[in-house]
Amino acid sequence: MSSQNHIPLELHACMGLNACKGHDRLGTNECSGMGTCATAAEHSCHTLNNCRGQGGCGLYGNAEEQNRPGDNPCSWQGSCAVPINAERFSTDGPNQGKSVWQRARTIFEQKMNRSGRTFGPSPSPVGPPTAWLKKNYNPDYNACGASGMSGGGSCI
Amino acid sequence: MTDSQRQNLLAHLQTAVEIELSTIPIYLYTYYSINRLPSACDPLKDGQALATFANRAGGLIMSVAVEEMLHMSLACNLMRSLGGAPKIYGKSPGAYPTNLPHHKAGFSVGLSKLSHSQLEKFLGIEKPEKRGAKPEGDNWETIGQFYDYIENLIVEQTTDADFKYEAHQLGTGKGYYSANNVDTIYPKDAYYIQQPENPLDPAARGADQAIYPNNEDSGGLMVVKDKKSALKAISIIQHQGEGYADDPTHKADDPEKDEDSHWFKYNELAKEIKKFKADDLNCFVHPFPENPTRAGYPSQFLPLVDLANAVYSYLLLITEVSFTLKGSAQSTLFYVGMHKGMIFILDKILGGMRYLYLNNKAGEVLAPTFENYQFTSLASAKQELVALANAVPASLGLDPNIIQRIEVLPDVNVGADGIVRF
Repeated sequence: MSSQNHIPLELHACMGLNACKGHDRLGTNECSGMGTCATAAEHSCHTLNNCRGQGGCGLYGNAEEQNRPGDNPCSWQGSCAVPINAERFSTDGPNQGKSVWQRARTIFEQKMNRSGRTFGPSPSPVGPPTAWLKKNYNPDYNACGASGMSGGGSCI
Repeated sequence: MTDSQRQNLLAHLQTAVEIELSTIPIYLYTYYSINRLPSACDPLKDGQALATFANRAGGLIMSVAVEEMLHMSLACNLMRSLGGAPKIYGKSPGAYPTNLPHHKAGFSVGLSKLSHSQLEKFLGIEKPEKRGAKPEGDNWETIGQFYDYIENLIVEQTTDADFKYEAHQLGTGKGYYSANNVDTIYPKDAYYIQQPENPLDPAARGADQAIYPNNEDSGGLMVVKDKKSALKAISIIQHQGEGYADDPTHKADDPEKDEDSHWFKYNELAKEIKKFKADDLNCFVHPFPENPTRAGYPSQFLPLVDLANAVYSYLLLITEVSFTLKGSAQSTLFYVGMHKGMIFILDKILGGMRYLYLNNKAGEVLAPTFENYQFTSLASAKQELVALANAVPASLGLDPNIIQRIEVLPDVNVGADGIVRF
């Protein structure tokens, strides 16, 4: 999978979190919510995101940040690696012990509903597993954390 | 309170800052000696138990270190509330082994890899005070007695009006502090990763195994604005360290009993580590030297050692300067600087160093010395840090990502316009 020839139209943190048709990394998705990949710059963790809405979440960050994956208000305030691997769970806050990607998808659906917009199903109902990301997105994909519990290995 | 009483209280709070600060490099050194995901334990008879203990020991030590950083910040907030100016840069112990500031003579603790004897030293740091022990402002025996002394000064000498400076404290709701993160948690069983993932719920395999050693209700960052909140801050520090004085087990440090005290965590680890053969611990404990110094390392490693010490010192400088700022300037410097600096710069430098062998007879590896790096000028500290990063030869394997992150660390020299530059 390559993103070399497509300029992202919207920055978002993962599979199934795109607001419009043609807004995934390849520009080929049929509908909002059906994109395959993140368009936000891939980054490996907390405070390394460049833009609003690029934080992946779940590994570092306080309770409030960890409850808003993919919805950070500002650059560097994202709470973890992008894309969000399906194995990742929140380590703090109300979503502690639950899937980060599913929380991000819930927030995405709430935002779309508030805007009166329709959206389609995500290509995967649970988000992209690490093995899928390594195979289809980046063979060196990783997340962070010395405990190894990010599900995405550890980052440099 | 009188001005002399205020100066006396501030002096003791500065000692509190330095006590908390002194524990951080000591705990971090031992933390970095642990490989939390060791494959070398697998062939051993107790491989699964050893791997599980390795990750648990790492998680518990980091969970304590995180709270020591919180305690230092709370002591700084107490100082700021009284109009004081906490000093942090250059106040780390610097040379090891060391006694704790103003502790009575006879105790010393150093930079040492994980072992039963090092955990015994940690228990010495976190030693609970005896019931009815007298408060001690100097030559203290336990940290609890030292804070009892400060508590008495607050109770007897202050009024609410004395705690009138809120603006420069590190406050709540800014993302400055979180009780748990992916480095404090650990799995019940390290071999959980060998179990198949549930395709309908991939997060469950790890989440069902995760233990969260810290808990929000034991207390977090808070603004000191009156006598009551000042005493609350002292109480958080005391309880997280040694539990409740009237509980002989010193286990819980929170009302809901969801979090163990520092002393209890270390006591559990000290009991557990004795179950393993000493040689077997080598499958996950890096061969760190004892109390290494810059002067004692071969010259080819010094660019990396200097960078590690400079980053550590720059983070202390960021913290100190953050207590002189407010609003968005403070949050930009502290939030971005400390999170990026600790997790993605210092952690990665120290993590990488331990794979460089010193080629000595003991087979030891390069480990941090946690010495105070003195910047030539504080006005150009950021630029000096960047120059140090760029001076590390490629042979020492410093990842280019780390250099790039250092280049975009916030500059501690905030201009008169209040804008933090990078």
